[in-house]
Amino acid sequence: MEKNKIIKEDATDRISELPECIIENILLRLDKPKERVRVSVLSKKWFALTASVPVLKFLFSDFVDEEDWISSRDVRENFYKYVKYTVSRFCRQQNVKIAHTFKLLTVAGDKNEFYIIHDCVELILMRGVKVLDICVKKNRTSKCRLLYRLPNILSSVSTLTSLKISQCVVLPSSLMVGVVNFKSLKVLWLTSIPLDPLVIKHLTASCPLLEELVVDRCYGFKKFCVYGGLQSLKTLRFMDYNGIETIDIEAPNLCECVLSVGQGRSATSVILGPCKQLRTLYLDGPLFLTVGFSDFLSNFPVLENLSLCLVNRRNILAVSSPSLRNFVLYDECDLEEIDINTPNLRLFSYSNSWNCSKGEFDIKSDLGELETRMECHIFNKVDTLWLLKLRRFLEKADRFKFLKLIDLYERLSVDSEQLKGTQLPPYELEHVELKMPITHVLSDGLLWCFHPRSLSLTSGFSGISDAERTHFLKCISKRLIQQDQGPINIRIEWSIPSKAKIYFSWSSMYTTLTFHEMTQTITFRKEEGPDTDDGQKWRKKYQRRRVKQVLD
Amino acid sequence: MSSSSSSKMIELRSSDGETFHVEETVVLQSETIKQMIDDDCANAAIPLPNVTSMTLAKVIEYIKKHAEKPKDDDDKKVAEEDLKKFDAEFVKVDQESMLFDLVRAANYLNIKSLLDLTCQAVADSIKDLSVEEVRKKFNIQNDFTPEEEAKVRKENAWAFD
Repeated sequence: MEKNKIIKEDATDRISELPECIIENILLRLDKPKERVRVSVLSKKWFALTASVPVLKFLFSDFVDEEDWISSRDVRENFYKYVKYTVSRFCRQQNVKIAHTFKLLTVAGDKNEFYIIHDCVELILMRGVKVLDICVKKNRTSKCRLLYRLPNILSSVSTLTSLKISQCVVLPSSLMVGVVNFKSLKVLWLTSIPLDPLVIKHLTASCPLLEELVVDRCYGFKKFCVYGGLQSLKTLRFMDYNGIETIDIEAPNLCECVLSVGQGRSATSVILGPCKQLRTLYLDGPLFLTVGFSDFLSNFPVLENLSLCLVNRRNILAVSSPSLRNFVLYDECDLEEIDINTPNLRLFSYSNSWNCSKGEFDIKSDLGELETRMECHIFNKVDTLWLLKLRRFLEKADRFKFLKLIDLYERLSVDSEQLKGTQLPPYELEHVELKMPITHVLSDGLLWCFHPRSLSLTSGFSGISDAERTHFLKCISKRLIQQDQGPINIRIEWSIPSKAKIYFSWSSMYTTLTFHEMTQTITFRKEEGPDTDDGQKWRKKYQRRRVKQVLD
Repeated sequence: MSSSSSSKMIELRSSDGETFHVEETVVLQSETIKQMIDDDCANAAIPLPNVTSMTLAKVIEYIKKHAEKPKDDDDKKVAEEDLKKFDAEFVKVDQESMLFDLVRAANYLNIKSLLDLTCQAVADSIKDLSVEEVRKKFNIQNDFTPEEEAKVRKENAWAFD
């Protein structure tokens, strides 16, 4: 009996007995076409279940081994055969469900392939779909410049919640006549496709629930306007590289707005109406605001994150905002031309080049530190005068306790005699963070200009010998010791990625420390400690030089 | 003071009559039980007629681990790593049937993260196997005629090489 029971239990098909919704959940996790197809021949039940999975994803990349998109005819044939087979199987079911997702990512091929895509997309649209995502990449090797036009039925699919169209795809002409039925549409992404001005007009007037609109490098229009037809719009990202003339946005509930136009084109005029909930604003390119910057900002009473790269800006930049927390600025101007009136600012990140703006917002929401900090990214060459302006800017702002300087390419070059001749007292800071070659730290007068309580240095240490490295670390320690009036010790923290920190004092440095190839961070902290003869000597010498500077 | 701040205990009864006492904050991960508590149906022991004591013990082990809150940000990273390891070990069950019991229990109790974890484990165990191996592993009866099966295979020949 016992034995029989065990055999019987072992023989049950426990997986096929699971509720269908669970099997569907498992099938969704077998997302490679090969895995899906294999499972479909297990039994008739599995054959039926695989046909009804409502997520239809076709990635050409699943059919090629590498990232090599140019592939043989056979591979392309198999891919389109699979698309056709799967879609027709889904649509032929007895109780047809709405397809949740239809995603197609492929490379432009010949006309016949477009016919297959067209038939499949039309079948899916006729049954209603929620998420439609079609990307037909340009084929660099082929001279074929065909574009695939979506079926006219698209404009009447009211089930759509998300629509993403990219590259060699054109929206249907039915969108030009104005009967658009996107009642449920929440997400609309259009990337590198031609857009007729009429299509923009109809889309921005007839999507009452639209929350996220991305128009990225599309072409065929000179103006991009949203006139209050998108009351639910929270996120707008508009990127253009074709010389757009006007951007005019009226979307009262926006939370995030990104406007980016290509450099080297004529200026684009920008109108952005009041947005009571706007938290993040990113402006990049030769944008021309029709009102003064202060008036412009006053439209956004809760703005927290602002990133500006106003290429060829002419006037003094006055940034006044009581709510602003993070301000990222790419500008080739002098720091003197920037006037900040932002009582709640936490981070001011400044890069002295228009060319380095990254095209995306990269403010870290969790800085971890409560102190107000300023970051300087040096891309264009700067000299002593610039350093002095930075010092004056910090003094005038009187709020930044942390300073981070990133000068990876040694663009800062300071004439130390000129610097010492200026008679400015050093500026006291909590912490200075430097990201630059170690050999550069001592030569550029930074430790003459700034007196930090602690200093961290991130650099690659592999290019110099052990002896040189030890020499530099000792010299930096010495400079820091000189800065203080009383006896101090310098505690050095050396963190290697993924390993615990190592602590040592400047006076007991070992030359045998093994430095890895990768970039590392060394932190020097001033702490009260026993005075040394050397320390006293260095301090006296330094004070004399400072006094001499004033007397001269 | 500290004892009064600890959470209320909820009693769960498995299909084979065993009772388990679990803190309310822990058990709330189950949408099904949360609904019962919200509807004031949790004053006596909650009967779970679809879940055996062996499975329920495993489920409780899981939700207890997932209820632990990290103290600070540093702790958070460590805790996340730790949880990943726990999850990976958790689905390594001796018997395949236990995994299916867990899938069913997660579905019935409506614990989304556990359902995702166990369904993923089942999918992973299928992924790299051939059709014949999957059939053997799960005792799936092939009810296709040889001709029918050959036809499906032929239509998708690329998937079977």
